[in-house]
Amino acid sequence: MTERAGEPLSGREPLPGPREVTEIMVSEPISELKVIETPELTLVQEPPQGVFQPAYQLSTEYELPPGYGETRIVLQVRDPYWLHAYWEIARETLVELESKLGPSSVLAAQKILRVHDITNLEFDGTNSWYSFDIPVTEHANNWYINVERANRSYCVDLGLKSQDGSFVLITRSNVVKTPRDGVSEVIDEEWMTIEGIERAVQPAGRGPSSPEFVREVSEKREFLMGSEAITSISSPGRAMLAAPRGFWLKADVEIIVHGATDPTARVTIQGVPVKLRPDGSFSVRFTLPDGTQVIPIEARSADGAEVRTITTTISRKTD
Amino acid sequence: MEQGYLAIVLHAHLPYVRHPEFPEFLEELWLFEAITESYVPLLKALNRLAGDGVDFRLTISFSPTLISMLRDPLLQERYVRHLDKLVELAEREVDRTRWLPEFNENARMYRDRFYEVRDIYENQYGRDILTGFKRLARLGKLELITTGATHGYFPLMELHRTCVRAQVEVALDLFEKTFDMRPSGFWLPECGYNPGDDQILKQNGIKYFFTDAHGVLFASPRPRYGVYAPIYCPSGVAAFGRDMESSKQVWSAREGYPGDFDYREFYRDIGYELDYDYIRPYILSDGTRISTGIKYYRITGKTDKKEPYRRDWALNKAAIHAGNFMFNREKQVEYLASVMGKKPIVVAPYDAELFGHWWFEGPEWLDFLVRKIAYDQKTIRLITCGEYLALNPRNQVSLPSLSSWGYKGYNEVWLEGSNDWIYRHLHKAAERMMELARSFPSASGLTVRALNQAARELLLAQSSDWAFIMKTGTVVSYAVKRVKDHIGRFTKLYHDIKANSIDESWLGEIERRDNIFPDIDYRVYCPVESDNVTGAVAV
Repeated sequence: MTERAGEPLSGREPLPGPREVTEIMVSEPISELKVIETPELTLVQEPPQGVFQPAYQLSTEYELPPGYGETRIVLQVRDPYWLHAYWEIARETLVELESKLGPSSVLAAQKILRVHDITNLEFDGTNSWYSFDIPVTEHANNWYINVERANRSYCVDLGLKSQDGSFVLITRSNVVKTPRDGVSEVIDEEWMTIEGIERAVQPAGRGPSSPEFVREVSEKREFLMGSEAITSISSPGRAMLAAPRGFWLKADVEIIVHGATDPTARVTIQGVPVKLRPDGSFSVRFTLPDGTQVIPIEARSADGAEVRTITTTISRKTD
Repeated sequence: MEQGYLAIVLHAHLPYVRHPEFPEFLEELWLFEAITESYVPLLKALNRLAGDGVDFRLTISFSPTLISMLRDPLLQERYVRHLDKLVELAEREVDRTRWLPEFNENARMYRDRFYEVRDIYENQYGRDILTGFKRLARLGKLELITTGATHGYFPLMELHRTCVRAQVEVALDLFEKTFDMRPSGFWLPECGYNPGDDQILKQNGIKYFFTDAHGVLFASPRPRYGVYAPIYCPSGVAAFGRDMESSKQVWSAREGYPGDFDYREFYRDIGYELDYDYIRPYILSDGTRISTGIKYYRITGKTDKKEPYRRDWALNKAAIHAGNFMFNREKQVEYLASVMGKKPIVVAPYDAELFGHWWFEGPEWLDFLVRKIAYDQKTIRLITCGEYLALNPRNQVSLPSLSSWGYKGYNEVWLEGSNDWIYRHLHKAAERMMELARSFPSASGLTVRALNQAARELLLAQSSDWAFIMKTGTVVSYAVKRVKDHIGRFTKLYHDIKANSIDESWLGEIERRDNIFPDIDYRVYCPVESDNVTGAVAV
């Protein structure tokens, strides 16, 4: 592994147990859907005017089941040093364990995750390079697992560890492989064309003197993992202004010029045309800055023969 | 003769948000804002470049969810209504600000923009702006590619690569029907690459994809040229790594161009600021204030006291920044070419919505940049990755590393305390979908409809956006609801299909709501031998 790989990419500080603890670990036989979507099509109707309609409350609520009535553990990679496991133990499995070990020893045993490093191995349950145990709490159904080495394959056994130290396997996870956290130690080069026909191991002719180039480039430039970017459009749905600190007051002044004339007339305010409503009325709103505004309002009949003008002067002064 | 290449890639994606069951829906505004502020302005800029005879090459990835929304008649109709109201508001704003010259100038700018967008959207493209991008692709200016069907995050589908294949195949099918061609490249959602997924791309005729920088830098064997030349996965698909330097200049919220004080301030929108009675007709009908897109201030500085936006200053800055970006790429390429002994390719991918929506002046920056590259220098040439591979068919073979472009570079954004609960359900639904596809190799009638709908529900539940939103904490309840709804609907379909008791009227309603991928064939979930890819083997 490389020097720069040593940078803590993901924070190695221990995570405090599972974040999402669900009380039910032994799942009930499936009753997966609590609520069924109502079939009636009444939802297309417009809600009554002015009735508050929260944007994201559909007519139905699905509640997902805590589990699916099966015994399994699934392992996923979070980053080079962290795995995530979720699991479920079916009721039958517990019953089976109790009949095998006796209810009291099941109760007394500690539920553990046994994490195996099985890189490049045909794992037979015992031959891992190394393994370590994580005691998990009774009702936990998922866990973040810190592993020491990147670019390794892992699998996890969920089981019971009894007080005498013996281990009973409940279920074994899938195998995952963590990614590298630095440049590869493998420097053999193979080149090929897009057809892949002339696969040939061949050193490139001219070029950087060694594959150190990669390291050079990645160290030379400030290397950022992932973007600290502005996030996607999904985030600014409500681009709220931060409220000012402390007691505060904001004030501004707007005025409304409104009136009515013959619906066929042409009206201008300060020489700028105004759109009339079908009944000949009009209304325009202005933000009024400090100072004086002279506001001529002019209506001209459709044939241009008649003109009426009303002029208003208004001034504002803010101290 | 150029010394190296620059590949600019814009990834355009929004999750599928369409709610016919409501007269209006807050989250549908994501699409509307993106059309008004990003997609149409980008199209306009590209058309202007092409019209002026500027030689350029850009790559745009359109996600299948976005494609589907852009072509959906209901959303098109709603968008036009939305735009009509924007035009009306902008007209009133021109009146209102008559005695405030600095604001009035901006009000006129918005009014003119909205009229122009409406003209482009309605009259020029008959509401289907994708035809505009398609035309540019035909002209050889654009390389169009796509991404996972619903932007599912592939590395967390490792348990069922059949799901990865379905995301790819459903996407390519829709893309082909939209653009009358197969894409040569593929944008992995969130740049999420999991070793082995390239084999699925290979089977579907894809020639290249993108990873974040460390996806290629940490590939094995160690890539000789870092991210400045693609590598071939053992499957023969090329991986191009993102260049961090060019990324940061544009992307970074702290040091990037978009934070310049002369640029438009995103967070000061009249929707939140003007008198309630006045703005009331232009916000949500429940009275919730929203962004209107009309924003009068420039960033100004690290202050709450913002100054009015000066369009001329902002455009001037966009030109300066384009020049700066080009200069930096020239220096970068000169250096790289000198140490590599071959022409480097600098790959600069961005979210398309950054341009125009977040970074208001982004489309103009791009326009300036493309022109400057065409006329003001000879060191770099714009290229698409497809074209690069045609010119450089011989590349190093190396397997990229698991990676994403999310925070910290791996899977954590989509797998952490806020969202890890979803995988239990997504995985179960995936298994059940595969089980259904196996059990019903040749269903007919209502069963086919139910099976196809089950496939849609699974795909919709898999969108990376839901986990992302849960993590970022923006509209969490909506994202949670979406996952629960799709999984819930899927589960009901699963049980109904197995019990042969499909509720036709309910199914009809769900088909109407979740109407994406009308031509989907659920059999895509029938597992095949090659789904057991072997990418994860140690190299």
